[in-house]
Amino acid sequence: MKNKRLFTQLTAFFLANPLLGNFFSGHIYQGRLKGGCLPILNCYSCPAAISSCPLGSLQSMAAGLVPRTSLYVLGILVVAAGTAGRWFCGWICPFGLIQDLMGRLTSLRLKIPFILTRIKYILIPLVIILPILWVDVNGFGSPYFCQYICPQGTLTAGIPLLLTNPELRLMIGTVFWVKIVILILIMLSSIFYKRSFCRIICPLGAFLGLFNKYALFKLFYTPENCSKCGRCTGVCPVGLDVPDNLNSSECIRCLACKKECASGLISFSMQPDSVKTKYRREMYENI
Amino acid sequence: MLMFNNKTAFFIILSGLLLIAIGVMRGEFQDVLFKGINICLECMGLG
Repeated sequence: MKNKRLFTQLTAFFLANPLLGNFFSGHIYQGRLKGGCLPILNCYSCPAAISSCPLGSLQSMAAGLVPRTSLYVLGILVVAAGTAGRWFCGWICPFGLIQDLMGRLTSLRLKIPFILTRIKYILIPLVIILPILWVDVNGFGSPYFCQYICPQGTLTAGIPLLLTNPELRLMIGTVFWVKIVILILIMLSSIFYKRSFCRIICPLGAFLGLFNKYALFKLFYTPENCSKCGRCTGVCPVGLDVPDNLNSSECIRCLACKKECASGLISFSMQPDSVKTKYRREMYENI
Repeated sequence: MLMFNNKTAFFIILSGLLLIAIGVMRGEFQDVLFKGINICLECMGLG
């Protein structure tokens, strides 16, 4: 298949959001699957969604009258991160797919200043701490990231539900229009700056990325036969110097470098090819 | 076994599974379900 990643992204999008009819009826799914979270940015108020958003769930629980950190959601994220790091960003995340589609409009790829890529790491603790510390007079916090920033919620929950529910439209205020502006800015920026939201803002991707170096599945590189052609670095959507930063926390595991390497020197697996070969040799010798 | 050569990853995944188990025992599956089945006005920008 020519574009395996796009096919996987589209399949994942429709598996996570199969109830497309709800976009017209204006309802959201209320079955038991909503008790589950996937390690991707997929708003639970999207009419088509059948699972919950990990960021929304973490914040909602922290924002309660008795604030607590959801170990269940955190556990799901840790298992996902320990298995494949940010692979979920590159291959499964619906908002990643939307940004990739926007990025296809032009081949222009502008560089994001390094300092901006640090913002998402500051947002990781804030996502959990702010709803606990910043409370109203009744002692309730709010899911501030969802409320003021999350473009996925605006795009897949806000806009479709407001189009089908006249009562909800009466509640539109300044915050909604601020979120619309944020959404438009992110959409436009992702045309020229590939995966701009993932690289600058997304705290979920930032968390998963912290485990890139330690995950079960990692990128491996065989430097011995490398001709230093630089094609792997050239195709990296997040602008990494690939051989040197192979398992950087910025890497979204799109595996474009692996696909581009004509010599097949980059692999995404549990062990380097050399170890696998040695293991297989030992296996055969024991037979 | 080949898979378990990466001990750090094994430890991370095991810790995650432990967190999930503790969370489920604390009734967090129901909490997430309850939040998920109600329309989140904040997510829409209305809250």
